[in-house]
Amino acid sequence: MPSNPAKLRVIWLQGITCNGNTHSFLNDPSLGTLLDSVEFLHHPLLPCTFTLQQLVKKLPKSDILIFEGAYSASFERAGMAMESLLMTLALKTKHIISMGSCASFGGIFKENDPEHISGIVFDKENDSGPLRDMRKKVITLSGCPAHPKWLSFTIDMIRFDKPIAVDEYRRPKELYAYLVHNGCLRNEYFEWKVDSEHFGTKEGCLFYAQGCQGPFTHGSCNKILWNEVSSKTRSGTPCVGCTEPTFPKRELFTTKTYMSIPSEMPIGIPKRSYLALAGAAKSFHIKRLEERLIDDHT
Amino acid sequence: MITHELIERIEGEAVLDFQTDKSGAVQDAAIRFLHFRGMEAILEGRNALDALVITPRVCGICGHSHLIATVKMIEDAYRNAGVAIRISDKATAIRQITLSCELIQNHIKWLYLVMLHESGKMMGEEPTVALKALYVSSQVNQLCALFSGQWPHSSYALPGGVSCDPTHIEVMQALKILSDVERFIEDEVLGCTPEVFEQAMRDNEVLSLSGDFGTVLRNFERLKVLDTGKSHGRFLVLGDKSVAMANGIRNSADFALVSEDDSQTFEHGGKTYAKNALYNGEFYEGGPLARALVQERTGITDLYRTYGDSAIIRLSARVAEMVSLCAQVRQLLTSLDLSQPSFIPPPAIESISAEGIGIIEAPRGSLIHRATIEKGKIVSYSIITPTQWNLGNGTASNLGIAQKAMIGAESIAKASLIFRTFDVCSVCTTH
Amino acid sequence: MARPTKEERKVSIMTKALELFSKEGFYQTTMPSIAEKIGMSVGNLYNYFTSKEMLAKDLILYIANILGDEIRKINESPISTQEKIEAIVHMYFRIAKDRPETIEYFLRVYLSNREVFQNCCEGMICVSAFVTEMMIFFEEGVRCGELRDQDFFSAFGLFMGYLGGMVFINGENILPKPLESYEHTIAENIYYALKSR
Repeated sequence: MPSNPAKLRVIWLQGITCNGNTHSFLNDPSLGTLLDSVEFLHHPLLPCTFTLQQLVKKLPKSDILIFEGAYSASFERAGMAMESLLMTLALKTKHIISMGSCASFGGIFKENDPEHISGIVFDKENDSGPLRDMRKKVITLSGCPAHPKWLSFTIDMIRFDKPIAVDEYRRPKELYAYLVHNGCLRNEYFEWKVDSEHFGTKEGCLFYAQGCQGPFTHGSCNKILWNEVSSKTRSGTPCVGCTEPTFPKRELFTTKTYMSIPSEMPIGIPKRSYLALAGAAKSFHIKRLEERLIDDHT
Repeated sequence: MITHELIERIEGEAVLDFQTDKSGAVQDAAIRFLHFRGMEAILEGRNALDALVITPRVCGICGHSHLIATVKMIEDAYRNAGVAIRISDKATAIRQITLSCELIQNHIKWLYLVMLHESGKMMGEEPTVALKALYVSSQVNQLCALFSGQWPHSSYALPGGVSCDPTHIEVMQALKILSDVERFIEDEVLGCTPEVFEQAMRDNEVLSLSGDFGTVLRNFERLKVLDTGKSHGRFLVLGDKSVAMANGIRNSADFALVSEDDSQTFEHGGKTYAKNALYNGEFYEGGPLARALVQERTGITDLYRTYGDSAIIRLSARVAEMVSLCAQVRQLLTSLDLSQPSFIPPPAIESISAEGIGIIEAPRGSLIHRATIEKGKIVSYSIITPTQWNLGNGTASNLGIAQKAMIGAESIAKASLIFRTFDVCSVCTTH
Repeated sequence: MARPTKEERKVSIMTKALELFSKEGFYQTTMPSIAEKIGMSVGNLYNYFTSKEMLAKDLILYIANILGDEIRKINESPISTQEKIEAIVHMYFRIAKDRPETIEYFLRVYLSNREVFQNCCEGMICVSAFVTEMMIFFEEGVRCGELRDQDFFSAFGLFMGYLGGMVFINGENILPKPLESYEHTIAENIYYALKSR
């Protein structure tokens, strides 16, 4: 039987945040199992060893520092500015998890003060955040919020000392090599270029008119389902691209097109190849895909 | 003596400045929120529909309420622009189901993570993780996600309806989850059926309830704070039926009497980022207690007659609301007519220039979103959150709701506990 | 001299068939008449094309590829959208003049006998090479701000319908002046109709 490593000492620190990642984390149905392997030195909502005030006083060593929320040098927790609080805790930890898109790239809160607010390693696409020199020990879990399973996966990999393959933003490939498009129930409509006439139906693809960013957003939302049961696209909502450094873009419910052609292509697909297939596919009329899936609910 | 107390394990953090006498009793209390994120400014200049993605990020625990307030605001703008917009009964019901789910999970987390935890700690107990409560909250959120795609931070409600198109399978799953949640509330929270719980409220016997709620009440009793925490006895509900209640008299509320007061904010030399929300120039309490009282719900109304607006009734009102919301969700789920459209497309938002107001009942009280839209773009956006009503910082002659409730407490610790009975959310207060 | 490959033989058959089809029309042209024109046996012709319909389909693919390649060259050259319009009009009229059978085939056979192409050339599959390049032309024109954003087909119809119409009138010998002398005015008309305001 494999030996059980000691509990990881974890600090969960918040920057400029809405608490969304905290509540997303609390949705983990196997939270109890996870808590068997970690000890929270500090957590904003769960029982923990140190209160925020004690944390700021002691600045303890840890195995993992989870940072939620956007970074601003002057933003304070318990009277201590992030500039020193985050930096000190980061130096005294072995691993850092950037939890959510605010911590990872600046996210929504960056919009209010773009000059001073950023992620911890990245500021949008640029690696100019305060922890850029420590990037080797940072794992990015972008997403607004990040999925609880993405976090438990990362903690588990760290706990068993397994290497985590990462992409250019230090996001685990096992989670972010997928596109949100992968596994979307509307994929067949995408293949045959049948667009959703309007919101509120099971039928049609949301990429052509409703602004869905699934084909160019990295994330396993349609593989590791939200709240175990669904996802934005499965409930008919376009993907808003929340795992990418560009989040939040503008005009989120409309597809930007040039002469009816989507302005952004699925990742890695040359425009010419896409259009050759799209033009052909669109000219077919597949009766099954133009009908409602279920005629009525009686 | 003046003490600054950092309040944690709420949504975000708050600082309470207490003035105490020699015995340690609280003579004055000020509430300060130190973080500000500028959500309203972020929205300006954007397409009004983008607000459906941005505003849920005001708050991780009640973001869905912000979504529903935003969608109602936009729909109101359509109507004010003279454009008809129709919402099917099905879409209205689904929105109410998911919103109620958010309230239920909020109340469960508050009861276990905050009240049971903090009162237990004051009794000298070693705190443990309330896994059973977190598990059932995650189930409630799963029920929500069957329709909204995810919780937190869904954007599934759009002007014209909802984006999902559920089948009986989702409804069946939702009803199964709901049964589990109801069982949890009966077995763990109350230790009795909802009927027995209501009878216990009417007979003033809630202290003898065997569940975790009873434990919280008994902790409060041992700490001698159960009947403390009285405030102005003024209540306001703007979301469903607009009612203001003062001195035991209910009147229909007039939105024109709502105002914001920023005299205590940093901008004006004060010590907080939070603006006060006032009705007719005065502080009014919102939330589950206000909702129960203006609707004259039996049980809470009976308890109120005995105890006034003290801690016991604020605790009971949140728990009673969990119970009534479950019944409401069950009723809505069983009567959903799935053959109705989920979404009735309105004219393009770009054709709309008008002002809109969206008011809903969020976990902590009335939530107001108001915006001016010009050709589909947001010119200005203003949000009044429930905690701005309850956690406002007044003056000696016009004290805020929680402020007044804390003054007179025997100690800072007890005042802080009273403060938490209001279900504090710092992130919302200073959006 | 080396024996021509099967592909080369196919192209030479197609070139001859193209002339017949565009002159005689689809129904008047038969497999025996094509064989006769080439100087091969009907049986041998069937070794290259299993039916007249298959030959007709390969021809439209062949033409779409020629047009597609030409427009692609224009799309990839570093010139303004207005200049690209000029270049496309010029290219189209040049082909109509030098190889009239190509455009004739497109207009008189492909577009006029849709029932023939229904099974093997559904939708836009056979002309995809050409349409794709036109999509790219329009998309880039709008993206760089020179053209107005609108529905693809309303722009495509205006452009290609105009050119097809001119070639058709020219074929009927109605035009008082040579086709190429209209190039500049036509390109300008197209540009002014599509340009952003």
